[in-house]
Amino acid sequence: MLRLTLIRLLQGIPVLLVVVTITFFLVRAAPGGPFDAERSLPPEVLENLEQRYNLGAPPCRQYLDYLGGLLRGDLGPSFRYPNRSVNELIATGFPITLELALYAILVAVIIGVLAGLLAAVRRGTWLDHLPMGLAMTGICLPSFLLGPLLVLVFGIALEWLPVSGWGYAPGDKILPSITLGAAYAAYIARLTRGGMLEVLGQDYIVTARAKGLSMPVVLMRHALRGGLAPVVAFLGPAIAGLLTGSFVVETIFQIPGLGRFYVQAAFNRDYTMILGTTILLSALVILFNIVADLLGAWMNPRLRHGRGTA
Amino acid sequence: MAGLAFMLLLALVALLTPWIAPYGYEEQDLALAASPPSLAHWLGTDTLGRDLLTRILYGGRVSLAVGFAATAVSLIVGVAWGIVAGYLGGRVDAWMMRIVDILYALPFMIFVILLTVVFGRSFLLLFLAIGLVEWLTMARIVRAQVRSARQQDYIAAAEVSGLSHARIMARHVLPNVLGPVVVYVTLTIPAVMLVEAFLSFLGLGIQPPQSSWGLLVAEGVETMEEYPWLLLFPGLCLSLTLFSLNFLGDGLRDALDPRGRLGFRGQ
Amino acid sequence: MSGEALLTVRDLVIAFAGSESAPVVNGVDFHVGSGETLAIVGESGSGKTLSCLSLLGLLPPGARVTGGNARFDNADQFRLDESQLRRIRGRRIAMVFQDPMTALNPYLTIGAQVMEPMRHHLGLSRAESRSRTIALLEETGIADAARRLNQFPHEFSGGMRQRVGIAMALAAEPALLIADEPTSALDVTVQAQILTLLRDLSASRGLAMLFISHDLDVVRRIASRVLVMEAGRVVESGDAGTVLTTPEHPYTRKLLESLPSGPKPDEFRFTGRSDARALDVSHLSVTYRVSGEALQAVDDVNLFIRPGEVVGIVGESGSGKTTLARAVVRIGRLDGGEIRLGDVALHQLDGGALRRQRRRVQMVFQDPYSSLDPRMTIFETIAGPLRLHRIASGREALDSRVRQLLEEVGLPPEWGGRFPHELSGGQRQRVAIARALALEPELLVADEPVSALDVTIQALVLRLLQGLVKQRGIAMLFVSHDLAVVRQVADRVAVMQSGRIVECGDTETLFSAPVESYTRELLAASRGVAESGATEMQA
Repeated sequence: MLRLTLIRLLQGIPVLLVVVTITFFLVRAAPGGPFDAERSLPPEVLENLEQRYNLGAPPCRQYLDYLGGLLRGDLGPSFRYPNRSVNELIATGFPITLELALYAILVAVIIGVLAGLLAAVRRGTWLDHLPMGLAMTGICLPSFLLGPLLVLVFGIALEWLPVSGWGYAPGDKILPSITLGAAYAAYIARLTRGGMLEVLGQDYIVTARAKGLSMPVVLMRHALRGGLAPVVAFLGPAIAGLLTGSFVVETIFQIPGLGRFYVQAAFNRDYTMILGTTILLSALVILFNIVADLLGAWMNPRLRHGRGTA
Repeated sequence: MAGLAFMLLLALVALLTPWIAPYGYEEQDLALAASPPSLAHWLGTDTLGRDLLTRILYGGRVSLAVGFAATAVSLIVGVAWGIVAGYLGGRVDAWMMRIVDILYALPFMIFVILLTVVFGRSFLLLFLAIGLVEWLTMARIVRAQVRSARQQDYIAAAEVSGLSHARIMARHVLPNVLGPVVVYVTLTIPAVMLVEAFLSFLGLGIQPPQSSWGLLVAEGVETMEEYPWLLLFPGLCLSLTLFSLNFLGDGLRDALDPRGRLGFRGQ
Repeated sequence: MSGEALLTVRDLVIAFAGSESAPVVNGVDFHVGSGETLAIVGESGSGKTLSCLSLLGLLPPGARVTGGNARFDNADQFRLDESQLRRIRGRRIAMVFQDPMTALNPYLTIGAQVMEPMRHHLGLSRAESRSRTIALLEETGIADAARRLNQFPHEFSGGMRQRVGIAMALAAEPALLIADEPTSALDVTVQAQILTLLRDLSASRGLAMLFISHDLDVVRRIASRVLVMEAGRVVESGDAGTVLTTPEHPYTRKLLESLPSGPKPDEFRFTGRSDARALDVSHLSVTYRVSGEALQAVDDVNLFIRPGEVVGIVGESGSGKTTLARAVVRIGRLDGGEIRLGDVALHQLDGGALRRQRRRVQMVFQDPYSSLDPRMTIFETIAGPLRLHRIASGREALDSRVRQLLEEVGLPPEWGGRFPHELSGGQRQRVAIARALALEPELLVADEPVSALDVTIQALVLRLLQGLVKQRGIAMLFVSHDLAVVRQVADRVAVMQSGRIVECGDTETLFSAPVESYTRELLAASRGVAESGATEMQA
């Protein structure tokens, strides 16, 4: 298991390097310089800027310098806000985004797994159809639609919950977390149901029942681990989706997270900020994929005990 | 079947939009700005006095076009990739699927945003970008199908009878791959439409004065307290379309359950 | 032999809900007493497994007991509610399943799974159930049980898993054991060991046992009484010795007659010239790479077949017999050696040159459910190769040729328009034979062609295949794990073990006087079944 962990982590490094390289050159290849907006800058100012942002050097040199900075954890200064470094900007927004994503995944996993279990156990009854119908609706109701609707109902009409902000008023984290998590809860519910039904059809479930175990014991002890395997495999992609999905939710609820910075940066062509954020998010997503992978392997004795590479 | 009927209706409406739309696309009536649904304007008008139904019809054209075009790109790339990897097997397969795994682990939405930033917000590039990241699942599905088909004895029997690899592919493997591919296509279209709406909502996708459902929803959100119909109708259109496509895909998947021994009688 | 019946089933009826057709089990009576083994024999679809599952309330969704009663422990099993049934399952009636590869939970350790019934039913402490589990595993023949307790099912071989399955069933000391085809997924040598184990356990513990099987040879060895089922009804029952030697019902007789036994019938024997060669294989080897390690699946094999001769290959699973068969027809890997088909060096050919020679060697596969393309009609399946090799062209010529072939394999000639899923297993295998013979090959490679079929169908298909091969003078390589089948079909036999041919010779000579120890072991295991059955019957 330890060996598997090391291997996976090492495999992540070249992937990240590829991401950094592609992002870097893509951004450099973008049409229009970052200072096009400020027209007719005096040449000495321009030169000053170029030096500050290391734009004078040949691209390869720039790339190596950037990599060097990356190794030291330095993402360079922001194009848009010359007085602030990308690190600072990320440091203010990132914790908020991470917290939002965390709550959302909790919402998604708890609701999704419970609903999926219920549907699988009560297959064919209304306890199956209702959650699955809701799940289908959840998948077809994108966050940028669900969010405003929730705001309209719970914020404006009923006035139960704050309509914006993060950590300013009690309960203002509830709507954003639900908005972001809902579609994933729906998907996880479907995955859980499918996985459980697959496992419940296996011979070893009949064996367990033939031992005289009660249905809850059969479910929890014998079926759950295999049934949740697809959910665990989905966690990696889910985290990636949640982190990018937070862009929309942060916009709707005016949350000062990383997502809003990223979208702003995309609008403003703040290249260093785009670069830094992309790299950070990619690294996170790669990491979470590895974690989900390892979790899946750990749950499966065949993979846990070495030799299997499949 | 209801899903399929709805889908055909949508496609038809999208094609005929220029003729059936009640008003011109840019036609404004500032006197009637932001009026609620009425006989003249079935779904009301927006803040600039444009007919919402007309805008939704034209927006739907864009959303559907992006959905279909990007899915076509993903179909071509994914099927080619999957077939080559699945049929050749061995080391080639291992490498090709490793690449897919790696790309899978990337936050693809961030990349789409990055691409829109770098290459500008052109319609064409947008769906190309989406299509190029959406092919991964297609490639996996096709490859898995090809591999499992290859293990069937009837493929071996065809080889023993002297059929060439190319003809085995065409006669025995491809028909088996087709079902799941059709299913996945119906599931990719709504996924792509969602991506487009997502980007347009953020202001990174389709640019005004062009319109799409995502953009209409975004505009609706800004004024939802005063004029809720501007959010509700485009949102409803988007959700219903996604719902019917997903429903269709699910239905097809159940009908073509690859583990079912029966199903699929003849061509 | 026992005074009082432990379980008495009367007039059992099982039906599938909503189905218009007759009940799948219809009016079945049987009883079994302590220390007694009742074998329920029948082919697939006879309702033997459903009858037993109903006793535990474990019928698959849709199936329901609609009539009859089952008296056990002074109660009617069919009137018990779920919580009462749970107290019976595992504790009073336990079950051993057919496939040890899927019947154990892959996510739990062996120890946890065997301990479960002890803790659940007997309320034993962890430590106590652990020590009892170790004792029980050792009793069922698992060495070093204390260490293996913490291993997972995938670390055990098939036979070992079945031992675990038996230990698990016995964990809470049930009075009745239901064994559903417990040996049919196992190799012949392992099968013999498991049967001995079950017999010893039931004797030492005074267990009543319901033994479900399709295999009369196995039944002969273990059962004290036999119940023969056909299509949901009991056709004959009684003392094992009587039923299996002097059966009264025609179906029982048919089952017994279908059992492959005795030497190859004279009419099919090889009578050709001894120096001609249809196939000549020398130094053939196939190597697979499994996680970096080279596995010699076929190791320096030499073999020849004369025109019109049938050579059998026997071996247990993993012996390389299928890999050899596939290499001979040039599908799959071939890493070294020569394959000569008449005057053609098949091993040197590839591409178009190989494809042109392919009509000379054809193959029949084991699983008739996967060897026919589900999307093609029977006509297309058979006509495809004919068209490809220009044996017949034009709609009319093709049509008459296909009809003729269908007739030859005993199918109605007008069935060309049907799809495989409309056919039974035996009928599909006939189509597969017709497809192979369509090209008029010189050599037919048959890889376990009858092992997926019921015993009565098996006998028919085997006879058909032998007749066609003999009549056309085709040489055949016949691969099987079933020694009795091979003895009936082959003129000469090669025994394979770990990729090598350990012994090869005239079938009757090899069966009566095997030289190699492995051959003797193999023969003893399969013959042991019949011989000890015979001794029991005399007793």
